[in-house]
Amino acid sequence: MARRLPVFLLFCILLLSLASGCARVQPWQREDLSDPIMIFDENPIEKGIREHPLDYREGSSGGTGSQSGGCGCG
Amino acid sequence: MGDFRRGLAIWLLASSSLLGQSEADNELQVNFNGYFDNFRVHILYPTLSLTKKIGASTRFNGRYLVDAITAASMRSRFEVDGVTSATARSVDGVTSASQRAGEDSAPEATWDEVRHEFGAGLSRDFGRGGTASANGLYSTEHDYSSKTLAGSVTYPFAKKNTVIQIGAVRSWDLSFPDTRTWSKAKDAATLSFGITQVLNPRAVAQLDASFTSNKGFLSDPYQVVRVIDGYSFRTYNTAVPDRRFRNAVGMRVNFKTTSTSSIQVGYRYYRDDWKIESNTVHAMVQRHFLDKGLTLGIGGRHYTQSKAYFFKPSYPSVEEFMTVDSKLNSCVSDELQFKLEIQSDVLKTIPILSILAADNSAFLADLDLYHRRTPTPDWFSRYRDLYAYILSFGWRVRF
Repeated sequence: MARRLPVFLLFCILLLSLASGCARVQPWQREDLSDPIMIFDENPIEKGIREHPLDYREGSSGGTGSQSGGCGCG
Repeated sequence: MGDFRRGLAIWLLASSSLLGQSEADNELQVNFNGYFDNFRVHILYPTLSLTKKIGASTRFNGRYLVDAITAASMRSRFEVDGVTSATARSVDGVTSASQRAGEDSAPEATWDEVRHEFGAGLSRDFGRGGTASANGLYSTEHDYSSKTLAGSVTYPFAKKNTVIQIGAVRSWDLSFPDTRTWSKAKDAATLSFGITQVLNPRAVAQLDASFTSNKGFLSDPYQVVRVIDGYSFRTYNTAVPDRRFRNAVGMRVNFKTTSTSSIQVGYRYYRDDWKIESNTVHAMVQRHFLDKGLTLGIGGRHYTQSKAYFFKPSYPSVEEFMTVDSKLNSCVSDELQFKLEIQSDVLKTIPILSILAADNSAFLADLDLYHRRTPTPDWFSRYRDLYAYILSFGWRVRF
């Protein structure tokens, strides 16, 4: 079990590295990518509003593209 | 339950604004948010956020949040070493942990705690598309204070097909309950790493990893543990290890399925040295209507968690570590999310909401329905099932 995390991390890095070698999208091909619905956490304020109460109902946090700071993490 | 009184921390490292989708230079956003659950925890937490360009490549951001909390557990009295589990000396309440929420007579009309949070920071562009940011945060309430510093660097490579982000957060908290004679500190340090990768003209993926070290007072000062010995029992403060190492890694992919819609799917794995291990999967579908004047989204999330190695629903004898905190119990949770965003052009046509229709403005609304089930009842409410909803209305203007 202890090995799962680094293995998964390496797998993801490898996956992204391979992906980057397969495609290089030019700036003029980014119309779809620039759509707000394609942006991860397009509104980080709302993301925090939604996610933070869950931090106090579940024992996990992190790994979702934003980091909480401060209190209540115990 | 008492964790809410420590407040709702903020998200200091946001990994948006990647892939050339630069953040707005000037933006004001106001949100009115509420959290309500069947454990009788009610929170209202309006937020005000401002981003202002203050130089050719520098932006200032400021934030203010206030949250007003009422919770049945805050009004209860469990005697521990001569003091109560209530958060304030003046609180009246009940004394039985076996009493269900809804059976005590504490009035609901007033807020039990109010917290204020102030944040400020700077972000600066550098090089060919890089951004560096630094933020500070101060949070205060009658029995808790928190100071946080955060910094992050984001830089694109390969014609912005790959964006790397590295961040760090450091916080110093102090707990000083009215009903105790001590004050105790907690420190936290987080390192995070993210890669966003364009897969093709219609798909983008992101990997996030975070590593957090907590040390100090990691317990809840108000929760109490009952040690039952035959027909009698004694109550004790909770006791948990004073160190915790938390690791999480998540990956998500966003696909543009049609010219007006997208689907995002993701997975997160988490584990820590308290033996909590969790798996989270989520998906979100979004679609534009009315020439992008209206955007709707619907999403779902499924979460499973194992319990901390020292968690027990009840303790037959005193142990070194004891906690009854439900978030350290094993659980399964599900969430359903609805999103709505209306741009100013459409806002103008809607009665009442039309007053919000300034240029480049948007009305935002979110509704989250949440259910968590634990195998044993919660220490205070005595319920296994937590039902909650989070409601948010916001108004954003870019200028």
